[in-house]
Amino acid sequence: MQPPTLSDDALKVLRAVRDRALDGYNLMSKTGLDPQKLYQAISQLVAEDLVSIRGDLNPDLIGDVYLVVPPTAFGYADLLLGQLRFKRAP
Amino acid sequence: MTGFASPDIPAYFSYLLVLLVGTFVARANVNHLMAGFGNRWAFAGTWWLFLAYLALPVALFWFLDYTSALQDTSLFAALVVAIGYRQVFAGGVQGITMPGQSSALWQPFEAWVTRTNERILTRQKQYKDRFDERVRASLAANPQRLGAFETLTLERSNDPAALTQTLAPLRTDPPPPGAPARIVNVLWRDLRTSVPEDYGYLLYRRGLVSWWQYWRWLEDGRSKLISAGILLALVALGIAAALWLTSSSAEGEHWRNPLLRYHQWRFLKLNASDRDRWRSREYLVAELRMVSADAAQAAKQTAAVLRPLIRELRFHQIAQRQADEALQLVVDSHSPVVTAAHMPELIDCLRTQNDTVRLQIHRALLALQRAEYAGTEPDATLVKWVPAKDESAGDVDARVRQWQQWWSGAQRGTPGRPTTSTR
Repeated sequence: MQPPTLSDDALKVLRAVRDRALDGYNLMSKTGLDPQKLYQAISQLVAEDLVSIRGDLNPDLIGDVYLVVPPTAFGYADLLLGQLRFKRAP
Repeated sequence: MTGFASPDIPAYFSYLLVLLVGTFVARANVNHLMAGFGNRWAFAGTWWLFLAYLALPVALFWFLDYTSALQDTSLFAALVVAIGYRQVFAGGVQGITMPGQSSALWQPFEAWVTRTNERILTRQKQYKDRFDERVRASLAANPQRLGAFETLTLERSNDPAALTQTLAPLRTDPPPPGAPARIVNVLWRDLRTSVPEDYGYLLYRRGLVSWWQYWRWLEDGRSKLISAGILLALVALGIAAALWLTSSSAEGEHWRNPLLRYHQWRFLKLNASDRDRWRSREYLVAELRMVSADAAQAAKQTAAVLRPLIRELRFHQIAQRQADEALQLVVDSHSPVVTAAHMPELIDCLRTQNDTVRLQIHRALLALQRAEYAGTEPDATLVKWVPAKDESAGDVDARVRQWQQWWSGAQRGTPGRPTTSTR
């Protein structure tokens, strides 16, 4: 199976929520994404079943969503983040 | 792991160790799993997860011992299972192999953990939304508080000019419908975006939320209160259990009975280590040496110690070693009061379908007769009797009756002095 092609923004979000659940406001602060970009990144992660989300997935209300990587997706998330580290290694 | 060199400790210490270390591991697991969930310990689901993570190593330790993958008296095995049960399930610990397909049980457990986690996340979001809503409503309802909130937000905003511009259409005269609530919503989002971690503290410092509200909802106060309550309840329960166990009843202190049952279990346990069996044997012998001189009391005490062991002799598939050990204990602990207390039951055990055990019981009866009732000889044919495989139920019954007749006579006569020592 081919790993999904996630955008850099989606990987940033995934890295931020891998170890702890975060709300949209904290995600914007940690990743530096604006609401629209955060919405797109989260949409990608949701489509890949990499995150579990609570709240409305809507660009206007993106700060109020809660995001967590479910335990069943830990392995998959680590694989994707590990590949990213490997690609970026000198 | 059974052949692994490790200090051999009593099994109750091993299980206690697994439980104690498992408590820390379970707490760390739950905290890791739910990192970022505010007030996570305030949810019943979190405690269920904690209990499941705590029960898992204990159950696994018992299961691995039951299947002889390890011994439950091994100190190192207890530590390995308590700390690394996840690796044990994954087959990543050399020397400990999960039997059959049992490691597949991890998957449904993980699925349950995920479902519980999701439920808690939903509840947590609901509670947080309600808190936010209450604070926003209180700000919108009071112009002074709304002013203070606006000042705070403008001070902290990443872009005060843009914020002022967004607020302008809501400040017209007359104001649009629901203007205060809409102003609060705009300010709220801006403040939360600007200071996502500390917005609650800032609201509290400006007197916009009470300390109690702030502590309960944003400083995990509910979690702390519930954890402290549960801890206090456990301490109280522990103290009550300790007081009860050390208090006395007619049969002595309450802890004696569970400890006796524990040693009886260990004594008959087939895959117990030699040292563990020896410890239990020593305990049981010591109990039998302490029986009262009073016949009625002695019968009661002896029955408590030996009856469960003697009863096992009736089971036709009893392991040879178990029968050997039980009968050796019976013979070794002979004394006038002890032997008199269990003799009828031991004679009745001759009815077992296992001819080898029947022979062992017969020999034990002869040994006891020589030790305690040397003055009353059994019938010569009975002494020479060798139980055989094809013996009929009637033949066995006749021998049992012979032994019972001898016992009636022996009870009437004065017990003879021991002529043969079996020790």
